[in-house]
Amino acid sequence: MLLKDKPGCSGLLDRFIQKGTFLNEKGIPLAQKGVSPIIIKEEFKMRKMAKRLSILVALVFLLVAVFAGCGGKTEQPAEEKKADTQQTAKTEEKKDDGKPDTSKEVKLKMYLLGDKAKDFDAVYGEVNKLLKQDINATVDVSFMSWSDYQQKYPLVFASGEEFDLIYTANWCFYNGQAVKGAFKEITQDMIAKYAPKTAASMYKEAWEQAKVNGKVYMLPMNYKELNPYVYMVRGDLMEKYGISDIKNAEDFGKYLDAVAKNEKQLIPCDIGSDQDFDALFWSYGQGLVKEKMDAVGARQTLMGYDASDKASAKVFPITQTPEFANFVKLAKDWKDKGYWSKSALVNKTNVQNSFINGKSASAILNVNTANGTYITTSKAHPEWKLKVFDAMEGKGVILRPFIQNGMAINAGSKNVERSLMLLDLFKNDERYSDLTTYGIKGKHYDVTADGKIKPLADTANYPVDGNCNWGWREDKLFKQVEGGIPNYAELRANWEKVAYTHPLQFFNFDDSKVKNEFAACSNVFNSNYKALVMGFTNDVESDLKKLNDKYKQAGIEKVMAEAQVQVDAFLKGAK
Amino acid sequence: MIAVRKTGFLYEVKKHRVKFLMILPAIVYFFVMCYIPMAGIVLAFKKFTYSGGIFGSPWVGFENFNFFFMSGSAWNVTRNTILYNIAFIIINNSLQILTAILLSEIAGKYFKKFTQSVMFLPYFISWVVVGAFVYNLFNYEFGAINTLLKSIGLEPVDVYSNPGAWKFIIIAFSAWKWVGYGTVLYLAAIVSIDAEMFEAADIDGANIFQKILHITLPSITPTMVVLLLLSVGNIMKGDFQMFYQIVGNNGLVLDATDVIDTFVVRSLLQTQEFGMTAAAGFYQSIFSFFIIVSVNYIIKKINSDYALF
Repeated sequence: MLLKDKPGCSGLLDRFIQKGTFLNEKGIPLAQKGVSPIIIKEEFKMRKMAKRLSILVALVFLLVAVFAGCGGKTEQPAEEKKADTQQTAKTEEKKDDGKPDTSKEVKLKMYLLGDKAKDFDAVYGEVNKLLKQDINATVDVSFMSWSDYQQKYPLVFASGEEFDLIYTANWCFYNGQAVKGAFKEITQDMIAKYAPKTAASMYKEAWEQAKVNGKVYMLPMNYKELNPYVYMVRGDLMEKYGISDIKNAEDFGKYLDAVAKNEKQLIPCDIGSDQDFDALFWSYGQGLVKEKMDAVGARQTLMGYDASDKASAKVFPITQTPEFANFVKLAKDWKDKGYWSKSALVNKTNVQNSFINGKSASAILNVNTANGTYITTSKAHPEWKLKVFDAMEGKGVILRPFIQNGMAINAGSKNVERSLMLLDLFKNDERYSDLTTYGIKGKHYDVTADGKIKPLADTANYPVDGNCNWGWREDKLFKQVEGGIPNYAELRANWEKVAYTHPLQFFNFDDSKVKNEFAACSNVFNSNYKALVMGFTNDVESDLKKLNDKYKQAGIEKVMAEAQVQVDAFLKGAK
Repeated sequence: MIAVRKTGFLYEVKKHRVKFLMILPAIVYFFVMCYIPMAGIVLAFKKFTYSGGIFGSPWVGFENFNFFFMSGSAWNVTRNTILYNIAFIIINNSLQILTAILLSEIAGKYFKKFTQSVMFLPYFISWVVVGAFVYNLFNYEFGAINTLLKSIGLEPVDVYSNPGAWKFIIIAFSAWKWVGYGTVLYLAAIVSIDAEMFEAADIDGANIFQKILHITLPSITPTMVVLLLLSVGNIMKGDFQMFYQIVGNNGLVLDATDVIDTFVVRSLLQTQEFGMTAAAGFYQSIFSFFIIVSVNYIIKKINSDYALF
């Protein structure tokens, strides 16, 4: 060991040099008696300088690396674009020779919404085995969780990340991101070539609905969805307080009242999270407002139209109808009686989870969610004797738009053909559809004699229809599940009797001309409307006036005028 | 021998090369993280598209700023942001100075260290967790406070529909979180005061209050001014995490609790218009810039030694 390396000895250096006993790295004395210490000092200086120089060089490298990193990022889209055009050029070249080329193996990256189920990787392992055989590809799935997908979703596009497929829907950024150029346009030619089965089976309306400014950017689900609201309540409590049946909101109110008065540890109906604060309005209240009223445009602007008039439609503000005022009065009454928490405005647990966890006595859910909840909860708490009742009271039930679920392709994707082929398989091949919707046969589900799906014990690790498989739902392959709501068939029959469609249900509002007004309306929606629709007011009349004044100030009239122009044009085209 | 010119930038660099080397990482950091991204301000005047990116998207003039002013809340949220920040600056700084002086006068070493650590702890607790605390404290049905009130036979209070209460709750939580942190800064300033001054004061017969008033406070004034200037620079920025997590999206108390940042999130979360958020940030930055320049100017007039630049 060299002396200079010993801890605490560095200060002694000069003295040793003076005495001439310092050793160099090879252990040979550097300065013996008679050798000038100045020469040795010079050598030291040189070494020090070399050290400094190396630090400097390292720093320069660091700088270069940092700037190269920045430069690379900004250039990326251009490169991608180039690759993209090359790709399209290639596909056009190949158009003549029949079958698409799958000789090169590709890895697709897909974004889905929600939280990853425990057995998700196992199920998609099976999916990938099939995919490898069929189209020489595998798919790697990433999830955006419910809690932050609103922030993450635009970011994956803005960051220029490379991925191929992403879930989208009319409620999940479809319009806004399509206008910004986030998705790849899908043409009839493309699906005819790469997704022939989809091209054959797709409902014509579905394709029309997916149009944004005349272009299609997603493959919507091919499933006619009726998704009305139901009340889910506890049968044991109904028996206890002598409530035999829940036919309408009044009966539901009686049930809530009994719980509020007698079960102090339970919240009768724990609404309040960001999702379900106006579920009550859209289930019960919808009937109050107009016989057949539906909303048009984004939820934040609260524009409605009378759906019983099919030929023409007049857009009106929902919040200015006397019926809305009546609903607010009812909501205030229920809130004051303690049917939901006085802290409901900041409650972040949703009505479903609160119910499942035994904190509340009822839930207002759409029937599909209710079905899934019923399967798991009736197993976990058989003593609750779960019951499900129709919340629609015979009012018209709307056929949901097909674009309520769908899959889109990233504009920067390098594997457009293979992505379409994958979607074609997912949508039309029973093996894929069963795997992604119900899990692995024999592990998560079994098929009963009459062709229903019977969930097995492991179903909790891959919930039925609960893994964001909604984007490729297909009427032909969607199966009934055993153990769901027992009166499901009866409920559905009732709804189908009153189900109706209106051309405007397939209308997409393009808000690019009224963005500022829309943002201002969002603010009013999230503050004033939210409080009012949950009954948080001391004076219904004045708060309602305040709400409408604020909407007016935010420019709702301009939004409605724009909507009316688009609606008229749309209805003209639909005729 | 050639005469070396002893002026000019290059000579300065050569003369102080070690110091320049030491400051280089900081310069690089600020250049890369703060000055280069500044070019992104142009986004405030553009309609963002993915294909165009930041610089290729089309210009739209001042259109992105409209949503802020047409909501009718622009004045209210701007006023709230500034008033809350002034309250934080005054209250937090006074508490920090007070506790720092008290701690410095405490003799017991272990008690001193313990108190300091306990006060510092909230600094490490995320606002998300604090938000859960607040909800569990004030929840009407099962909150800790109401459970307590009910158990001693009093009426429960409905905090979530009482705007006035939130002003105090927010200020109290801000103090709770930041007092420990600031105390450490002031304590460091107090420790570095020359002990001879206190000894001399002792000999002259000064009592403890006189010592604090005439030695401690004047000695930590530079620290106070620097911290003041730094916080004034942020006066237009509402601490989003704090306001959003503590108050939540509660429409009933927004008049009293809404700040620019929460307002922007509420308006734009669903639209995700990057241009509009950039516009809001631009508005804040411009105001902050004018405020910090003018405050610095005033301080310079009073005592030029204390000014930042």
